[in-house]
Amino acid sequence: MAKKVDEFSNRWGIVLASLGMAIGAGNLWRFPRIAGEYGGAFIILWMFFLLVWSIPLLMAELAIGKHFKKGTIGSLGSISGKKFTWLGVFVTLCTLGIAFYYSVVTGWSLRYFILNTHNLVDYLVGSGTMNTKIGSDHAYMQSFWSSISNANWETLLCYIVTVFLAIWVLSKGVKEGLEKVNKILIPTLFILLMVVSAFALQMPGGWQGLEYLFTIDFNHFSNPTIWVEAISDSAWSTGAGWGLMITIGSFSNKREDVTLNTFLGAFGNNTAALLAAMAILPAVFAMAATPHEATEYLESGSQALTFTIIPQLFANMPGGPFLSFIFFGAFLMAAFSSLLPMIQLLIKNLTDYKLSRKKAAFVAGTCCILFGLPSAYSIDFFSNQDWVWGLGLIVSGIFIAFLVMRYGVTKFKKDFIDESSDFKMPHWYFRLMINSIFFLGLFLVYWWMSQGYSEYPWFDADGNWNVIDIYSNASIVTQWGIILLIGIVFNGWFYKKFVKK
Amino acid sequence: MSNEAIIGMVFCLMLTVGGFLFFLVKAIRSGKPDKNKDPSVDTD
Repeated sequence: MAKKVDEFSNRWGIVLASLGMAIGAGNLWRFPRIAGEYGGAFIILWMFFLLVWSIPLLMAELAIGKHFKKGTIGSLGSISGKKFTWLGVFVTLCTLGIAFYYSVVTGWSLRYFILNTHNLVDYLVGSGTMNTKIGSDHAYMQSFWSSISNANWETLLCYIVTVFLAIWVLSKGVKEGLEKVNKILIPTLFILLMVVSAFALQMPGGWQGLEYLFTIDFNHFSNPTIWVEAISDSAWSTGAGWGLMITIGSFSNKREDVTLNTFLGAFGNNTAALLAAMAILPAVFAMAATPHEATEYLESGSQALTFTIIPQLFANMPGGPFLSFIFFGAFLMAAFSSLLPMIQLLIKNLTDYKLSRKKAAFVAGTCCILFGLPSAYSIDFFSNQDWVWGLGLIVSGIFIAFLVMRYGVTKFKKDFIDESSDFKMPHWYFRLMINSIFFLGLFLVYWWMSQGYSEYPWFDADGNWNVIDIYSNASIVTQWGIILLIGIVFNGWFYKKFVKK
Repeated sequence: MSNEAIIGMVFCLMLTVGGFLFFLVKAIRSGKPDKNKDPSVDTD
């Protein structure tokens, strides 16, 4: 019996899905901190790398998914041929590595949303002592964060609830599940960020946050770190190289305009990130005693800023519990809307393997809960996974660029992108950028690994392979090696089951 | 706010939000050519 293909109803379904995928926790906790550190110079470079790194990769991914209508292994395997199917396996497993620990972040955001709801209710109808405690006792939020990030049953429960919720949404299909949820989440998220921004800017000192964010210091351009931070943030924030756009593309109508949809989604992501910075930085400056104290807060790190400092700052302002409730509501929405396509990536690959959608959703949820457990249980394990697979995304980007180069960049653009695009980019732009991605990616991997985040990057003091260290290169190489080995050893099987089928 | 910060803000917002609005208007103006009027079917 004939049945309807599950696909997005129109352009806006795809754009909202790509916005939901890209606007994640990173936009609210990482970007404002880094943008605040370097100011306008960072924003200019970040926009430059949106055009150089992120948009060409996202365009290639969306076009590949739309053309082959398969998941990441099937689509990338179809363009690479049997010999290089393992490249698609690497991209898939790398993104799953992120999905497993990212579901824990979504669990944390739910836990903080519950805390802030509790605080708001206590503030409105109770004694308000909880808000006083959050605002005046620095150790209170610190110990709350320490407790939920290490072996805490509440974290486990929140994390399992968010995964179940994601599976429930995705089991309804792309049109009835993902598209409908994004129609609510994304516009609400934009509105909430604008509300926080408007509140913060009305407070004395709030404008100093904007001054800090937008002042362009030309001396920064000669600092190599800001260039690397800008390209890394663009790659991580937009989701370029994750294979998520392949998944979204596989559910799109064949008449979709790849170029316009990609540009709209990518610029929308950056707009949301800038909006988040315009909400958070003025809030931090308005509530800190001095500008110096505000900059100290910003330099304290992403997790500390979001989970310990911001609740404390909100608690000290008039009506703060309202704002804190709105901020963590937005944070939960951003995290959840990014988790959905990550799990959808696994579901799509499983349905390619001929599992029914409901069975695939169940398997994906079980995998997420099982493999995410260690990250929910230990913050050290979480940090290790974030480091290993975060950098792995750059490798995924290199692999996708390599496949496009192997096919022929101009031919790829004509066959895959321009066939349905009214809005076309010049051939030279796409050719230059894809070639740049390959070499820039190699440089980035070298640069991050040479930064020496671990005291013993390869071997420990006793001369043993330092695989246990959270930030060691040995840990990265070992885990990448394992998934590469899986891809290469079972290359033929993956080709037979996901590509040829 | 200092003049440098105002110039930086206008420039950065033009690049980011301006770019987003430009593509948003372009997408709205292009109508709904991608609207799936005749839902495709498959037989699996």
